[in-house]
Amino acid sequence: MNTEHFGLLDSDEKVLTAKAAAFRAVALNEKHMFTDTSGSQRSQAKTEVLRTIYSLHAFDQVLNNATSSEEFLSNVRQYLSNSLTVYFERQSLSLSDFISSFDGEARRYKSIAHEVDDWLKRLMKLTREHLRRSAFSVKIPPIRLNLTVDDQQSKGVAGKTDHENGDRLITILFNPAKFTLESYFALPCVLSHELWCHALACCHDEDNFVRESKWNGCSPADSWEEGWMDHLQFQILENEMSAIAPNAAALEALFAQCSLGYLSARHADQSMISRGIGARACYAFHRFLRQYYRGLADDLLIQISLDINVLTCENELKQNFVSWIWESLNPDTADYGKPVESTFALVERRNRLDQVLLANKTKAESLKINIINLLAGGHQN
Amino acid sequence: MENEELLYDVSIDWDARAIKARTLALASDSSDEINQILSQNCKAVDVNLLVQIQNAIRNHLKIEEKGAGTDPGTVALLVSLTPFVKAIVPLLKPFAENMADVARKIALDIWNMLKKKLGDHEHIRLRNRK
Repeated sequence: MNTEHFGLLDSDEKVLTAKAAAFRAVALNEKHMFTDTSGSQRSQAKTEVLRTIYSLHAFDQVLNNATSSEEFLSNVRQYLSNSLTVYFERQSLSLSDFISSFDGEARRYKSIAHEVDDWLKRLMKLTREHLRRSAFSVKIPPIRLNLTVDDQQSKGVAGKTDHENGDRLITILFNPAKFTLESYFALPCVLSHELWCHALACCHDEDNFVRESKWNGCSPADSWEEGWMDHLQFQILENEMSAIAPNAAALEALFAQCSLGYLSARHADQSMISRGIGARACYAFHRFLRQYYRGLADDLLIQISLDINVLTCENELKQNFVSWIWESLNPDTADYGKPVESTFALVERRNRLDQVLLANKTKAESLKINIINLLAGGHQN
Repeated sequence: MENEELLYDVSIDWDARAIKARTLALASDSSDEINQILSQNCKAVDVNLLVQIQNAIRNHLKIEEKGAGTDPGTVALLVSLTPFVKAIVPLLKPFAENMADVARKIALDIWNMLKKKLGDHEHIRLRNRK
């Protein structure tokens, strides 16, 4: 019987889970498997091990839907042992450590679907903590998770968000044939992106929550949701990785590194000009806040960004915000005076910014504000 | 009334806002074509109807992205004709029987005309999404 796990077929779920367990085993044993005390490394050995894991998607046992998860993992263990024995002996490596780690990780995380769902629950807890401090009244919409396979997509993993009857539906899409080690360890970033950037957009509870969603979507090159908010979500993810995906340090480091790699590739994509500018504008704004508000900068960046993201308004207003920041902070490095010492001044200026945006949210075309000046204590324009 | 929601794939160089702006500009310059569509579907037309239809295009034709995603292929362009159809039904009362059906036909014909012009004049190709 084919059962579905958040939308994944049983067979797909088994393959992806087995791959994830194997990737984790590689990461945990990487040092003693692929380096030695002389300082040399065995890149060919690593390539061989990963190639064997990547081939799991074509594993015959996938076709046998009656195989239980335990039997399937046992078969995968045997397959890995048989495929790598000769190579490990040739390299005088310890295969048993790797297989033992594989067993441990497979037992620890029985299902990739439940692993992703667990991450989402932890991320949701974090969103509630942050949004509790929003300047606006926020009604977080119901958020549902769906996992599915798309054999046509170019990457091993991708994400998308839609709205359905007032809910936000986050879908994680897998291409098992292209599901690499980097794909797996970038999964938290993909999930975090969909949640912070899209699922929480436009949920300002101004009218006691109108049932129909006021968010429909955005362009892949959108400078705000795809650029600015994407940069922001990674800042949160990197700081909170231990809370979101608690693991041994070696695995957490790889989650962070692969998430950063995934993010950097998105923002350096030469075809997504506005998206890249949005991410860099967020970086520039954060730098300004660090110079001017010092220890309060990280929290201020998150709160201002979340406030604007939840605002239900024309996309154009949020894109204009990115443009205004970019124009204000480039190319000169202006001196905005002494760093702010008083949290009262900070709160007062942040509230002023929020009120200006809220009061003008329907006038995206005509509104232009000097945000940097406002936050530095000057006038609005 | 059927929900006329049309989904398209489009180049990443164009977002919904830009496509809508181009569409409305083309609609302003398409009086002859719109008149022809009205004549084909209504027993009589007058200049007021043309102006009202063009206003309805400006105020009620909905073009926006549907969804968001890390892969550009997951985001579709959504063209919703339903608000436009609803807006023009009462305008057709003096000119047509079966106003709802006629309104729907006119809306589809106008949209197809504008879609063709987007491709021919603006090089914005909208591909039907499967």
